[in-house]
Amino acid sequence: MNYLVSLQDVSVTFAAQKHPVLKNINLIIKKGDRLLITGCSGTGKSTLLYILAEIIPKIIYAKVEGLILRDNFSTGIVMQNPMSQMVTPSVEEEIAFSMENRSMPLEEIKEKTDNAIRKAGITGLKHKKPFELSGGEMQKVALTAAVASEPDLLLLDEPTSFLDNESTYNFLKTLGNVSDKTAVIIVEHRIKKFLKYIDKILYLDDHGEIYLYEDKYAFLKNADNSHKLKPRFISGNNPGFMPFDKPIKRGNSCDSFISVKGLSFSYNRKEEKVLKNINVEMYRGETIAVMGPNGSGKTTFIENIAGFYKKTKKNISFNGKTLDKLKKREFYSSLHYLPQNPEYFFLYQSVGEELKDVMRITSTGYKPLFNFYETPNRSPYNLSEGEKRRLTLELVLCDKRPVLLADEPTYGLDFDAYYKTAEAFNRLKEEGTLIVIVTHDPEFAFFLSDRILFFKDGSIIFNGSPGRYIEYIESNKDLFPGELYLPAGLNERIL
Amino acid sequence: MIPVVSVNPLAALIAVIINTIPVFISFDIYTPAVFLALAVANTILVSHIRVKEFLKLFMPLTTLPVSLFFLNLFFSASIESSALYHLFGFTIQSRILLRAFIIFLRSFTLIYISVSYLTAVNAIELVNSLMQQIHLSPRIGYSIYTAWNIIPFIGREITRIKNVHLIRSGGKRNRIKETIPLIVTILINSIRHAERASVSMYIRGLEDSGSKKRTFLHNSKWRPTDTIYAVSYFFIAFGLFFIIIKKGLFRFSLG
Repeated sequence: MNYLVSLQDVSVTFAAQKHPVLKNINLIIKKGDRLLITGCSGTGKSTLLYILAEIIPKIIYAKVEGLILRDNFSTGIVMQNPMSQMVTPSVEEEIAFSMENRSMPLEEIKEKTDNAIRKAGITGLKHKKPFELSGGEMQKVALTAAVASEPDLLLLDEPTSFLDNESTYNFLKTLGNVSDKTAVIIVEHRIKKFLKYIDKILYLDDHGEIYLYEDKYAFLKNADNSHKLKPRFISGNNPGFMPFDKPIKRGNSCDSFISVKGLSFSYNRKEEKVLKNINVEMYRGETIAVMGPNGSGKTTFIENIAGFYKKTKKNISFNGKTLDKLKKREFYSSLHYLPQNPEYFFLYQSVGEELKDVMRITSTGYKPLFNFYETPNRSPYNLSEGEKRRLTLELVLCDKRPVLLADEPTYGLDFDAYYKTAEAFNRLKEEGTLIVIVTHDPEFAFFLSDRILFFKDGSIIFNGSPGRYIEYIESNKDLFPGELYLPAGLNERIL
Repeated sequence: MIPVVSVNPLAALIAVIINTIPVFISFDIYTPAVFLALAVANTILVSHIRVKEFLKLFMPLTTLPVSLFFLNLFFSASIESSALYHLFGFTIQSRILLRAFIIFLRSFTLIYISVSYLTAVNAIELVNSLMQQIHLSPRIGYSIYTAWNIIPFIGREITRIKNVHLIRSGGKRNRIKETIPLIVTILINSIRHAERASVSMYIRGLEDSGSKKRTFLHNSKWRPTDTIYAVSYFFIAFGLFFIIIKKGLFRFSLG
């Protein structure tokens, strides 16, 4: 066989759904192919990966019609949720797992594992247990494990979404070194980052149509006109949300909406401090992007602001009162918290009930951002990752509160949803909402935020405007190793 | 505690089983006392016991044998035997005291054996050893590891989900209403996690690898000392048990 998998008129229908997720797909994957699959949320991109890897119907049941021919080949995968793929008790074993299963000689496994760990720059994590890692570190380990075993087919489902700049750089470098014989298939919304590493692009649109571009540049030419894709995802143009170098709001601490003083935090007494003496003021109508390497304490920081932990409530003031002196209702009804895992946000068993819950408190005239109102009976847990994220955003936007804390709000969003979200956040800001976003997405941070807080090892090492942040990067290049994945225009300015 | 000899966790498990059976089927003072002494000697000689952890788990559990002792002492049905004392209005009879002490000693020994094993053996090494020595299916072994990985997360995630729900409902507390979405979220996440772990194992070739041909990064070796340990433990335990029976000190009782 001169191909790994061949799909001929393949359609896939899940048990709970009337209509197929994928319809009449024709696709041939050969050795050494470099394919990027993109398209709207919920159009079956992950399902297509699962079909190629035979996970559907072998592990996940779905009705599959059409003809699938496949050679005997090994597969590596990085899933959207990296925690789920950790099945061993240590990072080292996680990376060796595929090789162990293929019965490689022990010495070869050890050598390849050590090399992969060194190349990925995760030597410090080698003997750690998976539950000791942050979300980004887990994704790094999952990527290293997938690449280390040198599979015939490598499937990557939004592989860099939780990675910091340095890890993304290391990962793309690793991806560039993958053997020419390995076919690499990447599901990704942000095409620009991967353009160098792919040859073909498969676009799935929301009408179930698929477009395979053997020439990636043909897709780029067509993207704006035929697929109505926003050019920034393709070329990295500044969408012009915000004036870039605007001065940040300053006032005395009495004016601040949320004030953090001397915040240090560890999950338990034995563990090292995740946050170390954080002092920061946040103002009404401000958008703050919290950035920094994986495991630097970004999520823990906004969880503390949201009052998750009793022991630090005295360090955080809301409207001049410390959280331990505020009534729970007064505080909780003033903020929204969007967790990294959107499933944690759901309270009901159907999309309709979720929307009904917020609609009763929504002022009339609210214009829905996304199209959930036509499928109210679907379970929110059965939506695709991108759709789940969109639903949580819709729920937050329906029920406006003075503070919005969001952990990776753009993860899994397609072109359209990304744009709409940015615009909606901008509107909220204009209405006076304080928005604090934890993000690894520099475009979202640079064009939307007034201020960037950069975390490293539990401390804020930079607190200033995006413009000043660029100057900071320029003068502290040792803190930002590797290529910087910034919006076009900014990259040129720095490099 | 630093052991004199280091043994394979599976060999230690065999010793625990050997130690437990006679205690479990006896109803006399001698059998649990002798096997408690044997277990203590085993702890000193071969166990990598983590003393602090052991005491943390063992001390609260000792309330169970102590409670059983007093329960049997004060509330047992009266037996024809001489009264020893009168305490707080209760008459303590000699045979009842003996029975209460036997129950105490038996449960105390069983708890000691279990806790000393749990705090001496690394569960991860045990699963590794089961996969390599008795060819436990790697699929089961790695499923145990997956569950193991998720346990420390559960507490933290429950706090997270509770807080997210509380914020979303604007701080309005309704414990019953709150519990349902919390359980649903945890349940759905657990099922999803199991499904994804299953996918991860399958795609990385675990399904195809029989335990015999699989390579293990960390070899769990069954050394001759393990065989010697398990066999000698069996003979020592059997010998002691034989002596107890031969001397007429053993009384059979199940459970």
